[in-house]
Amino acid sequence: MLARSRPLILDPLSGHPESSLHVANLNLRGTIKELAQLDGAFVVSREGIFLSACRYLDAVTAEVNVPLGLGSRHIAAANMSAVTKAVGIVVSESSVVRLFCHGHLVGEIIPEVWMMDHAQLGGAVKREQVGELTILTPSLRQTPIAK
Amino acid sequence: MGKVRSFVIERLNLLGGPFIQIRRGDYPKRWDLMMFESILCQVTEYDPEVLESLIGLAVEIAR
Repeated sequence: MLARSRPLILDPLSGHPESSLHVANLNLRGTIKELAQLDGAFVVSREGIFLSACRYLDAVTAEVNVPLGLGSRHIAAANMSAVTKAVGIVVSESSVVRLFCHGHLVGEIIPEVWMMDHAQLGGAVKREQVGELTILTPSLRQTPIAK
Repeated sequence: MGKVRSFVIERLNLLGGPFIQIRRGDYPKRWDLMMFESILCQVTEYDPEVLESLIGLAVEIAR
């Protein structure tokens, strides 16, 4: 990945200890969200260590399968996933998160749906149908009362 | 408690297969979990915990 990309600016993640660059580190997550406003891609190791930020992905191949309508960042991620073993995770301008693997689009995630799942909105849910619109209203959770 | 609209996804791509159109109002039970499990199955060479954490971070950035 690093060999097939180049920095667009001086790397802001360079020189930090590995322990502070792991994806599970909450301090890092805030930093990554800020750096995501800048141009370029992050390179992450298979162990979840952020190796570099703001990189221009320089891989090109014809063996990618990108649906029409997706732009250059998707094509760059698809190309990189085709020529390396990397998985490409792309945040689109329309806020959809897409995953590329071996040059193919393998998943699309709508943030709201992901948050619904991870906020544990399961359980008792009231379902209403208004025309084509389905409205799910989670039940209020009982807050434990401290003794 | 606010209401959660369920029609935000209109298409999914499961296991690299053809796009499956989900019409508004169609909401298969637990389909969101199915989608995520499918994605993680596609890239088994990577630690699912790391990948899921990265996807979660991407979702936070998207929001």
